[in-house]
Amino acid sequence: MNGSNYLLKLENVTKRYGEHEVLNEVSLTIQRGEFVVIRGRNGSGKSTLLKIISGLIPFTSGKRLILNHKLVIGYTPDRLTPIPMTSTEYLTYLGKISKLESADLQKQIKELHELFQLEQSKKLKMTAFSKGMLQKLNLMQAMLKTPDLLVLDEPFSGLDKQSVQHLLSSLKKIKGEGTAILAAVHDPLLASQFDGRTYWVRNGQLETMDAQEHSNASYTLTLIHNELATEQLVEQFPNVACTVGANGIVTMTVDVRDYRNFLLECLQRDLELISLVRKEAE
Amino acid sequence: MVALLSYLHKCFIRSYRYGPASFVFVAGICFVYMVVPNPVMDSYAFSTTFLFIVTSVLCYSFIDLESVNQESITLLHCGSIVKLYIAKLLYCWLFTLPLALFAVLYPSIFNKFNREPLLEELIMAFLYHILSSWLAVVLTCWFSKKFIRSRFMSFLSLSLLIAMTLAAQGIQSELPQAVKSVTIIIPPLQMTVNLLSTYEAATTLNKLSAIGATLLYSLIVAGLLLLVMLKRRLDSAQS
Repeated sequence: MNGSNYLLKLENVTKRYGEHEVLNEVSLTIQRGEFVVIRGRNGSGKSTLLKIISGLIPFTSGKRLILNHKLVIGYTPDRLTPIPMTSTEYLTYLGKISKLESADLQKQIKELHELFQLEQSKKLKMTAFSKGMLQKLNLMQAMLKTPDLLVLDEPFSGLDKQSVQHLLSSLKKIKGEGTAILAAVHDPLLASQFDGRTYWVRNGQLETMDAQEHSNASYTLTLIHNELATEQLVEQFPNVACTVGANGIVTMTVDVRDYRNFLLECLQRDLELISLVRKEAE
Repeated sequence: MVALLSYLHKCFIRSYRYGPASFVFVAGICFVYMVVPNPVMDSYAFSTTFLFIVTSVLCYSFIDLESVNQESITLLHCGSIVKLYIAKLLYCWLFTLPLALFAVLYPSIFNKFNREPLLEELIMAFLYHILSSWLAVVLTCWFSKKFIRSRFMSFLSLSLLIAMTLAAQGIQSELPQAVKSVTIIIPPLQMTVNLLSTYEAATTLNKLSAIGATLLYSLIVAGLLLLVMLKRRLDSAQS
């Protein structure tokens, strides 16, 4: 990693609100075209970090260095507040505020509607938008002026599965065009879909997420109960936690190291799977 | 700046938040002039005070129109917090210009005065009106959610400030001689109102000093606001 070729760099940034220290000596470098995922519990300081990186709020001490003053940062907050405007009106105003040429702007707005599969309605106002539609518009405004760095605060919040997949592929396309993406993602499964660096914000500090933490995940399977097969599985996988419900359903929790073999055994024994949920250790 | 102003205009107009205060002002002016005839400049002294109060209410409903998230987006698109807040101050003041014009022209056109006002009186009255609304705008911006999180507390504090501004003369006369100079921090609306009440006897210097004092005071307050915003940006104590 070439340290001098960064887009944006934080050096020992600390953020305090009175006595409360939200971030403590945080350092982070973001390079062109890379994906950086920030994870952490609610209230851990993820959004504060994103706002500092975007230049929206000041910090108590440390340095924020940017490649040049023309660096374009697109920022999407966790949710967009609907205002009584159509998506085209909203994007046109923001584009004009950004000093985009009118002809280019209309072309860009049309392309963004196509990219995010949002209908360019002349009547439907944002106040009538669903959560998912607002989230798409939220991302569209951040991409009006092709950003060098796209900062996303919980970008998948409120999106259905289809939209999440579509957004993931759109983000990969944007990344491929050279835009660096920094995203605070709560959902561990979604976070794992990104091919990039992952950090945890813990106790105000930024920690690299290592392989050990990845391996702490566990899977909970819900199956139709078969007494013999269940007994054999428990014997074969002693670390599996098993709870038999009164309704003929059995719940089994298996850690990430065993789950592949465990799942194969379940299928070979012709057990009927009802659900499979991954739980990330925090 | 024009794009920013037109965006703010669209947001404010479609929010309908301007409705109650603007209606009260227009209806209030029509109501007070139902009784005729009225003295020219004394009537303008009243409408200047009325506009000051109504502008405070308008600005109070405008300044937090954008949610914190939307303001972050607008800020990143316009590129400067100072530019964004100058646009907000300016827009709020521009919105009150038609109200000021109405307050000056309505009684004159519909013969509500005891005599025809002179052109110079009309121009000066308009100037005092728009200065008082500018003063109200720059003061009210300090009562946004960014500075006072509780809407109840901010409304209460703003009401107190308006009451102190209107009662500046009374406060000054009640204070002991040693601390009288403290009243210099009270917004100088009374200076304008007093001048309009005694307009015929006032010298050119008196007229200009009322304008100068209001301008100087409001520019200092606006400058301080922009400095604080530049330092804090969109930070708030509980974000």
